[in-house]
Amino acid sequence: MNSTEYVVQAEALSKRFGRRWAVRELDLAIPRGTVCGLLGPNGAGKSTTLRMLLGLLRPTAGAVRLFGAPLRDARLHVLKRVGCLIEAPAFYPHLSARKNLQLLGKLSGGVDAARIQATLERVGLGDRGEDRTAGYSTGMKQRLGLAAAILHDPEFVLLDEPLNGLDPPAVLLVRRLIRELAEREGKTVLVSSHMLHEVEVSCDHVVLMRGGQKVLDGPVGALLEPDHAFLELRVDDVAAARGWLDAQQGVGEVREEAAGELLVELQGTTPDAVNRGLVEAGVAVSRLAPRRRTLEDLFAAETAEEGAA
Amino acid sequence: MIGRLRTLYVVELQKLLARKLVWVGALGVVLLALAGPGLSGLAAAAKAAREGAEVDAFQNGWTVLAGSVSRASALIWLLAVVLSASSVAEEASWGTLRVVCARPVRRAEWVVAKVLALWSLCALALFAAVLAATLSAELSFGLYDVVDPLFPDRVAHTFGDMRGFVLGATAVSVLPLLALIAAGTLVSTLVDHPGHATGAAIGGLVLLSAAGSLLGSFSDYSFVDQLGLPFQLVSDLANQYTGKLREFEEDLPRVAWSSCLWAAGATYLAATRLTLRDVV
Repeated sequence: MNSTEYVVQAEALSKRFGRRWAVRELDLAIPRGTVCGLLGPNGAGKSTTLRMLLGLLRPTAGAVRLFGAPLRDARLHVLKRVGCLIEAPAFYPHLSARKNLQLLGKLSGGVDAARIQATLERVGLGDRGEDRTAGYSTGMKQRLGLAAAILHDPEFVLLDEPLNGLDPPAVLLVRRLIRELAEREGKTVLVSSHMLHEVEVSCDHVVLMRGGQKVLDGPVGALLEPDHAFLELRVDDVAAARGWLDAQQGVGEVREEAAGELLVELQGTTPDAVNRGLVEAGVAVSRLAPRRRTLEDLFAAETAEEGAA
Repeated sequence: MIGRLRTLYVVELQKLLARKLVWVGALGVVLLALAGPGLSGLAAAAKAAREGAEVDAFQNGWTVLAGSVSRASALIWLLAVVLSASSVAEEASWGTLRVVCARPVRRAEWVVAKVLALWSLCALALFAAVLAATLSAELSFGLYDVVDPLFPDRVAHTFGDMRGFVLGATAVSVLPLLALIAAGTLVSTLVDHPGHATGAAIGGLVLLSAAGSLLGSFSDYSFVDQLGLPFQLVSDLANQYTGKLREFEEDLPRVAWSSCLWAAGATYLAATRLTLRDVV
């Protein structure tokens, strides 16, 4: 693995709190210039992982390299190139947004007033810079947190739940911002989120965690490739339809999503073959819609495995 | 390192100056120092009433000055304890601890900058108190040579001597103040809730003071017991108590070095604690 190709490399990263392992033997490699989504249910170890990547938590075992340099030895140097929003955005409540950014900018090596104004405008707070952050709504704080993360023009931006508390226009703004950071400015972005659809539309690469361990890792396109397509069906006899579908080689998981509605994973067969087979089996099909595999499907499958385990 | 420390120091100073408590406290310190003569009179009357004796009429500009600075200093100590004990704890409760620690900041340097920034402001407040008390003493009694009231021709301490004692006491007083701030900051790195940290710091100071009362020799080296000592000695010199000049010359160097040791030790422990802790 060429270290310069990867912004983040974690090897066998582990963190234990008391007797509980929050993260265990996690290997992670995030290629330069990608938007990587870190997914997982609550308690999966996402926030602990992000904190270890920033040096906020000391790993119980394993090591982190940022930009090819060991974080432990080169923390001051590499963190100049990193911007982050960790969990809830936090600011000095008695200071204005602009003053908060000025102080944070100083800590990151200095940022001029024009850059601060431009960053405030970029997150839609251009005319609220003089307001004290104590009076900010959750959404405004979240926007300001994003501004603080990108203020010093970092090469690697790490965002923990950046969409929390945002209204729909702000969600669109953040989505656009994340894409711009990667596509126009060539930055690497790591986003942790519960919003699966947002990760799917914003990210190139996905890492799925569960129980402190990585269970899935790969480019979004490859994970959602067409041969893992889904079929939405509305049928008059669910039991008969399931019976026929379960007997087919080219059909994977079958889920009942609502009364009379099935979601069928296609693994080699085609929608018209399924339609023909069901009709021949005496099942009336009133709706048939192919659906691309989504991260939600992947997530549900992994969660189902967890439940089965 | 110096450049990073300077940046952190400026940031901490700006954060402190943006707080109302700092300005209200500074105003209170100056007003207390200015009100010195009146408060000195009230204090003397209260003491006389308590002891059933006549009011001790002996006062001069220097006793008023020392008394005023002592009273104003008590407010500075209170502010120093509250602000230092909440300095890191407040960052933890606001969540800015992780924001700052995720930036290219050496945590040990941040602790040093916090201690130095608060110390600078408290030292400035002390200098302001001394100036205000000097003005007040000059306007009320005047600042002259200290003479024996029974033998007005006998000069106990000249104006120049007394000015030197005040300057020396001012210079030395900032050192126990530095130790106090470092100790408060140490508590702040141990307790994440600002209110609890302030309570713990005050409790710790009470314990140190009690230890000083129980162990006489410990008191000689405890910054808690040394906070008011320099201006107490100035007051004693102005009152012409015997043997105080020797005490002034012997005690002040001890106050200076022992306070520096306390400050260095507490700052080192606070920096180590913040460096080694997980920031969640």
